[in-house]
Formats: sequence, structure tokens, C-alpha cells
Amino acid sequence: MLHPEEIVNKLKEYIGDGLLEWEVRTRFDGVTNIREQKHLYIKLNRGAFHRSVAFLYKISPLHISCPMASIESEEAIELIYPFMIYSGHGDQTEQPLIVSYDIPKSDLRTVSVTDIIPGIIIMERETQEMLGIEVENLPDERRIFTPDNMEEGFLPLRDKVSGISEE
Amino acid sequence: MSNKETYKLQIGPTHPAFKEPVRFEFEVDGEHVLHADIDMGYTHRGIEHVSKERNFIQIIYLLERICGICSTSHPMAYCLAVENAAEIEVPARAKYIRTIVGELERLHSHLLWAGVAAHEVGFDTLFYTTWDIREKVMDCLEVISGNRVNYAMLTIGGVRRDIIGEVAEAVNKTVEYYSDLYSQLEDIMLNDMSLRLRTENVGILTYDEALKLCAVGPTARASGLAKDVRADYAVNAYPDIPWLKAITPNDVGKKPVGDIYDRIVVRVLEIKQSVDIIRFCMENMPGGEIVAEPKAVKVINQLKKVKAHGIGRYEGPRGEVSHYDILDNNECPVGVKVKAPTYSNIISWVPMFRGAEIADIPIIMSSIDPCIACSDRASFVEGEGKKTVSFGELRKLSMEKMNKIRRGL
Repeated sequence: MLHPEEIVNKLKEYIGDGLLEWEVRTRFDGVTNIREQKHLYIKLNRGAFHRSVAFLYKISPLHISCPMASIESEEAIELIYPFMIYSGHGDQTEQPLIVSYDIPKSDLRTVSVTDIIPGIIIMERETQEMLGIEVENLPDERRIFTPDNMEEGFLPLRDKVSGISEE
Repeated sequence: MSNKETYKLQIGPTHPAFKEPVRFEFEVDGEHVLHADIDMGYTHRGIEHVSKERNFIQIIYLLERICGICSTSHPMAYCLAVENAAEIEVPARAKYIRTIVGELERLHSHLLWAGVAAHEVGFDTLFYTTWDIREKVMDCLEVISGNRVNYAMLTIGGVRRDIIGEVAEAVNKTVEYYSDLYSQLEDIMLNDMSLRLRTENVGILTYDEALKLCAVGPTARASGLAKDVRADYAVNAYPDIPWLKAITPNDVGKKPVGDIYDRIVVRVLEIKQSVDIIRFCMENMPGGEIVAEPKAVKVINQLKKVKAHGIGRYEGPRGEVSHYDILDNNECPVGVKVKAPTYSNIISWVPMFRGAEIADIPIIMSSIDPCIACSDRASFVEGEGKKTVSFGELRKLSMEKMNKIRRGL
């Protein structure tokens, strides 16, 4: 089982400049038995995302804990994937591994990782539908939460909800 | 089978398997399901979007209404996420109270599920029995919080109500009630032949499928994947419990198959586990404060100075509840991302239905303990034969009932 720093070093070796930033944050919980939990935050270059997930999955199968969160700025949307690594061992070894990358608003595209983590499909469909980010190679492109006849361009989770006509 | 023409069977969005809207389209060949497609979104309420327009305290009560059954799980994950982002230390006693309320919720949820599952296979005696014995834990939650659902126990930095005096006595009596009942319940749920015939080798989700599809909760554990947030990423009082672990069918000496029967095994054993956790917490609960800062305005002002991300994870009765919150020097979070367990498990339905018989569709649907939306406890409407109850009257009736329960416990 690798320490967060070791995961980062291996990933850096594999994707080089594709790894932009990283940070380890620690939280503690419990009362009489204090447990330490490391959170690894990794920021990537968009182009390195798919390769990085494939690499990390080989270290240990990733679990996607929560649909992708997003932060919107003037130029880009940062997409945040709350993954868990070493999940399912049941012995306090699970580590949050939060991967993020920026997508320029001029080119709102990313690539699906359902070929590596099939369980992420609904979350990728939601990202496409709610944020208007085109997810390439997504096996199922249908809307999941909004109606099929929803107006084109309606993006409910963008900072300025767009696409609703005056009527 | 493959030479015949297949046809499509539509079920839902409103259908008898459960009371929440979700639509299934099955491709069937005779009595056998070849493929299942799932269509959701019939009750999407835009809670994540609404959250961005409410302050940190108001959001707790909004998120509590995501689900009536898991009404502690979502506020728990949210509060943990905000506390994680703002590095707020929760008092020791509050951690124990949070654990107790969470486990009481698991108790009533698993009993509710047992009744639903029994009903789906036509075992209505068991349905009535489990829902009857579930009333005890609902009464206990009402004594603690004043409500059967939406307990409003959580706040950022702790809990809103203590468990002392007659409330503590009610919790202890509830623990003893279920301890005494457990062996009988286990015997019916795990050994009844009619239940076994309907659930063994039906709706199988293998270990590999559970892993790849990111299944959570009892659904994952029944497939042998020892995934339980309480053990993997312990919060509240869970790290203090030395014997706590993810329950799988291995705990009754059975190799996990990942069928519906294994999901029953996991949930039944978790009823006992919850009772033991509550007893542990009642016996070891430390003294002291129950909230880090009782004044909501001060909490909001503190959070307005924070620019950070927080993740909050909690093992709800149906599995992992996960929230990701983004704080950015504002009295509202700029991002609230919510994941309920059913969201993770929905995709697991696809392999479970493959090869199943049409008659097994309802019990397979119910086997993941789905929660598509929440429903109200009661509605009061105007019109002939119906009475509209004002807030004041409802509150009075509620207090009268709670006092009656207190006297009876």
C-alpha cells in the first residue's frame, strides 16, 4: 500500500508535466482512538487525465465517491473527481484521491473514463447534461435527470443558468 | 431462446415495486430478461442549485429533505464536509450522539427494507411483523428529536439535542427491545424456506461487477466487497469501536454469491451490529458540550472567512452518502455536490436483471433498497371529509403523542 507521496512520485514519473500541482491534507477523527486520514489532492493537465486514471487504477481500483464538482471562472471550468483508492479493504486504508483539471470555456470537452471505471457513467452523463461539457467516448449520451425535450443549452449547474427562454 | 423475437416491457415510472418514480425498459425473451435500461429524473428537484442560494445553516435542513429515510445521512455528510473544509472540531459527546442517531436510522431503514422485500415476494406476515417492530425505533427517534423523520439533530460543529435522562432511558430500552428480538428475526429472515427459494441465486451482482460499477453499501458487501465508510473512513465515534468492520456473508460462514439472499444476510447482521454500536456508545459516551459553537450567526461568520474544499462521507443505511462542498469566502457555499447511495447502485441493476425472470423484477428492484425520491409523512388537504391542520395544531398533536410515547417507553 503506497503512501500519498509515493503515489504522487509514481504518477509524476509516468505523466511528467501532466501533473501540475498536488497536496496532502490530513484529518483526524475519533475520541479515544484518534485515526489519521490522508487526503491527496492532484491537479492535472486535461490531456493527462485519462492516462492518469488508467495508471492510478492499476495501483488499486478506484472508487468514484461523488459526482464531479465544478468551479467556474471567466475562462475555464475546473472539474473535480472525488476518487477513493484502496477502497473496500475495510481496515481504514481507504484514501481520498481528489483529481481535478481545468477545461477552457472555449473548448468544453473532456474524455470519458468509463472504459476504466464503468461505474462512473451516470456521473459523466450528469456532467455533460448539467455543465455542458462534452464527454467524448461516453457510451450513453442520453440525458439522465432533465427531460428529453429540455430546451437546448439549458445548463442547470453553471454559475449563470443559461438556456431558459423568456417565455 | 435466442431464435425468438424479443419484445420490450415497460415498467414505470409509477409502478407497484416501490412508491417512487423510475422507469425501466426490459428487453425480454419469453419470461427472461435479456437487458434492462433505466430512466431517472422524474423527481429531480435541483437541490444542489438551490443550496448555492442558502446560508450554511439553512442548507442542513434543505439537505435533510433529500430523503425521508436517510434524513440524518445527508446532513451528516454535509456537516462533515463543511467541518472538513473549515477545520471545525466537533465535541466528543456530539460525535457519540451523531453515531447513535445514525445507527437508529440504520435500524429503522433495514427493518423497513425487510418489510418491503417480504411484501415483494408475497410474504406479507413478515412485512407486517417487521413494520410493527420498526415502530419501536421510530418512537425512540421521536423521543430524541420530536420527529419520526427529518430529526434536525445535526448542526455544523455538533448536534442540537443531548441524549440524557428519560431520553437516554428510551434509547437503552430500545436497544434491549431489539437485542431480545434479534434471534427470532434472524431465524425468520435467514432460514425461512419460501424466502430462500425466492432470493437465492436471483439478482446476482458478482464481486468484479460490484467493484467496477462502484457499488456501495449492503449491495456491495453482499458481493463480498468489504466496503463500509464506517470502517474505511471512520468518522464520529466509529474509530473508537474496536470490533467494527464491514459485514459480508463470510460473517455467517457463507461464501458471497452476490444474490438477493446475501443482501438479506448483510442487512440482518447489520441490525445486530447497529444495536451493538448504540449500546457501545451509550456505555462509553463522554461528557461535555454537544456543539462547538451554538450560535448560528457566529458559525456563518466563521465560515464566511473560509476558502477551501471539504469532503464529507458517511455510511448511510443504503450505502455511502458523499458530499463535496466548495467554500469561497461567502455565506453560501459556491458548490454543493451530493451523492446518495442509490445513485451509485443504479447501474448495478443492469447485471442483476440480466437472465432474471419477469416475476423476479420487483424483488430485484427492491434488493438494492432504492431511494429514488422522498415522500411526505402526511398531507392535509381541504375538501369533503378531509381536515386542514394548522402548524400550531399539528405541533400540539405531535407533542401530545410524544409525551404519550415517553410515558409508555
